[in-house]
Amino acid sequence: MNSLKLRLGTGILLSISVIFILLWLAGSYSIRVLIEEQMSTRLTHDSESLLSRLQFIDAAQIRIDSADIDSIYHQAFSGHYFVIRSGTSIIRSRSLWDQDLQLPSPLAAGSRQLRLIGPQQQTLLVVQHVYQKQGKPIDILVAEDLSSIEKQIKHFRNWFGLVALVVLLLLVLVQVFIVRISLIPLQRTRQQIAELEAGQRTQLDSHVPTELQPLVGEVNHLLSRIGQRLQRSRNAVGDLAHALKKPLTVLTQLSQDDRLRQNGDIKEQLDYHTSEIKRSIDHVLKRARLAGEGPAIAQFSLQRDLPPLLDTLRSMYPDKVIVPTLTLHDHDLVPFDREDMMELLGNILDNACKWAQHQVNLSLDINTALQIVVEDDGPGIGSEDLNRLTARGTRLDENIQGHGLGLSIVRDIIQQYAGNISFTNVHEYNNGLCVEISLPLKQADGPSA
Amino acid sequence: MKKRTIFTLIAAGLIGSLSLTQADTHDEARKLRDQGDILPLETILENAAKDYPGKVIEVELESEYGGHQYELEVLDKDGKVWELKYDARSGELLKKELED
Repeated sequence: MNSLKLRLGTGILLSISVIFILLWLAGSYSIRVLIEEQMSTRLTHDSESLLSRLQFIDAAQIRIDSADIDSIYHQAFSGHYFVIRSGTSIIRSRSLWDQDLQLPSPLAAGSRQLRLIGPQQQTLLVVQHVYQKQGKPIDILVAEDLSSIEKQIKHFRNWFGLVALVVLLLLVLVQVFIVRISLIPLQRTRQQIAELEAGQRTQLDSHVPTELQPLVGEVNHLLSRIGQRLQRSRNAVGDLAHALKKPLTVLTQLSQDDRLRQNGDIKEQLDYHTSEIKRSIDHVLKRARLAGEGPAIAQFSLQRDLPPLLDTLRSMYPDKVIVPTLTLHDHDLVPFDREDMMELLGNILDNACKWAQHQVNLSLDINTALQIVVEDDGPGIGSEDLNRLTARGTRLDENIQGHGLGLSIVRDIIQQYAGNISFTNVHEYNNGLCVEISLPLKQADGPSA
Repeated sequence: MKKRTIFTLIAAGLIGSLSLTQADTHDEARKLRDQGDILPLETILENAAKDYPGKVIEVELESEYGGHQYELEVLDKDGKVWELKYDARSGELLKKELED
């Protein structure tokens, strides 16, 4: 039961059903009570009119002139009956014909209402009165068949049940409709979250129903917090790098000091480490520059994100030519994080540009995987190092100048998306380096960290 | 209620002529049934309802030719009144005709 529609539907169905059943029972009960009350009043009238027509033949015998009696009491099994008792004398209505009612014992005084089974299995409502006439007790039972009333009540019940069912069905339909309409904003928000992930928007639309507002507000708040935090950490890294630059320059100058010449090994170490620090700083600054200004959470868009990246690289290496060849098959968004892709492409291209003499070729091809091939016309790498570069888990940062920090990050990203990387030498281009990267599209739904 | 007043009017004519004998007919019928001389009216009516469905508007017990006969008047759904005569002892249909 985790669907709101289902929950609301069942709730309304149950409550309305209970109401209808109660109405149904109350309705049938009231109708029955009303009819029986009216009937009992009529029977009492008949009882009194019988009493007025009653005569004593002698002390013990009673008689009634049948001509004065309503014809319904004459017709056999008509559903209207009476029995008059006084002492041992009994008068039965003609309508009882050859049947006897199961007579209750005579009352001492007053009246009562009861039910008996009459001829042809009729259910009878019986009113029993006891009167005094000429000093003698007279017990009169007047009865009427309830079958027709039962039939009417049954009729009412059926109709009521049918109407209730139709109304219930209509209400459920209306309710389903209302729920569907009320859930439209939720679907819209879901769509917006998808757009958010695709980098097509940075915030959720906050014009939503009150019930949804806290959720949307919370998500928006979180988004802006993430954005701020990302910006702050980018800034902080950049600031730190810039701040380190000046003392580093001082250190580099210090290493040229004459006093250090005498201690060659110290100078060598100092040179090495300062250059390492410089390389790290350069890398960080370059990375910040290549990443550009983008939304915190977004998928990589080839059309949106690639041109600025190439522009930045062209401005960094004005004397090198970068030739992109894209085989996209109508793809634009690829299911990889924008930051990751900027870092990956930026690093590989930056390396290629650094070593290239004139030209760098970038080719992107999308089929079941995103295939990235970057070739330069630089010096390439010796075959021994090539093998070590390609081997899994090997870190060549220390050994191969310029392929240092960047490459290890590239490896991490590729591993995260279950892709692979390989290095070869391009013979046409003066032994330049060729880097091939393949990132499967399918597994990239949720990057496994 | 309307039905009853109509019945009263019809009955006034009917009963007026019969009232003298009627008072005792049904008591007689009960006595005969108790003795086993005639079938219960319920049985007769049950048979009549099977053959001639409709509303029984009059029942009389007659004694002719040394036996008892039930004479029924049945109003069918077309508004025609049928007169049916049954042997009260065997329940056999003796006569049926449309009443004029």
